[in-house]
Amino acid sequence: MKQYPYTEKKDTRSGFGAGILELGRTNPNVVALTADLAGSLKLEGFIKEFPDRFVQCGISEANMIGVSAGLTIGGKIPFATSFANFATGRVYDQIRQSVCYSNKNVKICASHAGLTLGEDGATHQILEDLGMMKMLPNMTVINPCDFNQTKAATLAIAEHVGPVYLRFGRPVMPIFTPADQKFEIGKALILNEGPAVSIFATGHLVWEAIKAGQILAEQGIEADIINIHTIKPLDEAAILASVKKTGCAVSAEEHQLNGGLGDSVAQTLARNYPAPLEMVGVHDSFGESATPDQLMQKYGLTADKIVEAAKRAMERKS
Amino acid sequence: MHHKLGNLTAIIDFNRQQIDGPTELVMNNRDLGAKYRAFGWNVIEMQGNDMADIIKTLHQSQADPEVPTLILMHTEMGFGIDYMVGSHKWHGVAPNDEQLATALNQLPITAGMSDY
Repeated sequence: MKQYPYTEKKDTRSGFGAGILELGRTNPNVVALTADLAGSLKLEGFIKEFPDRFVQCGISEANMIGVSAGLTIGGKIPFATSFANFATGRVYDQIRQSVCYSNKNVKICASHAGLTLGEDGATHQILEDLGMMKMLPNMTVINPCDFNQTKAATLAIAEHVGPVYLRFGRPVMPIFTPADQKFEIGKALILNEGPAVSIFATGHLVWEAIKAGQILAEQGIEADIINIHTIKPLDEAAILASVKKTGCAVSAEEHQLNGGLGDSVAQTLARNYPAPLEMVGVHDSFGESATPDQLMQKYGLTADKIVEAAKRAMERKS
Repeated sequence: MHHKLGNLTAIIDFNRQQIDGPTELVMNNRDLGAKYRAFGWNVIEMQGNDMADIIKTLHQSQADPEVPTLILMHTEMGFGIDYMVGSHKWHGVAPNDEQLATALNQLPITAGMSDY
């Protein structure tokens, strides 16, 4: 098992904050919007340097999406920011009608996704956002795994023309990807290679997948571990190449099984190369209020659960 | 007003009809102009079926560089066509060929034309 040492932990939302500040300095068309969550989205640096390129919309997310769509007509690249819950479900209609249907160059950047929001509880813990966003035609959906990757993804989506949903979160996570990485939208990243099982993970669960790989390696099992940072367009070639080698797979995500990464992997396998797939995610349930660690344990989004799923998948190989 | 949007003009086509019937029976908006004024908009009214009034009123909008303008545009659905005017029932229905010919004959711009 390849080792992923790290010296620092940071939140992925701060990676977004660093990315948008750099974009402010390098791309004059980039503008930032928020709905009363500038602090939570780490926009302070951008606002301080570029006050004229920041729009505070107040708690009116639907208006923010409409204003963002309008700004694209003048050539701006709007980054509309909020919590993942309020940036998707609350404004699905505006995203569908004003952004995706007319293919507007709006970047919806959403923090506090999933259970790791923690204590604020189920009303704020969205676990359906990837599904809603990936179903929309024209939408690109990205869920990076650490600070560096989130910063790189933020820079990359400014270069991509078209609607993007960029999902990140609140907890501090080990920084194990390179600071100077070039983020390629739609290109899965192979973190470890092994013949036994393919583990496809996204977002915060990528680190759990690495930990699971270490546990499996100690038991003599080497796994393919692949970071699927782009949910759509999905790197089907990477998924199929891996499963054709290993013969079975596990998906891992901080999201409902319905509509998430595992759902996309299952569809890819069913259509191209049917193989056993075990899915680690939330089973048709809302979250609740607790610490992020308590919730990840209770809802089974851990390295241990990925290990168990990997063994189940391997047993199902004919 | 907060964002100093003096160059923004919004127009509400205020025809008092919606798909289930007259607005005041479906869900009465009461005084729309007062609602916009409460949010800091400059509210003016115009007659949307009168081109001279439209031109005059549009010139009056954006007078204050810091305040957006809301034009409450009073219109009649089906204006100028006797069997359509004042009714919501043509919201989602297209006229047939005979009804179309009748309608076009009643509009000054197309009346008397044999080939539309």
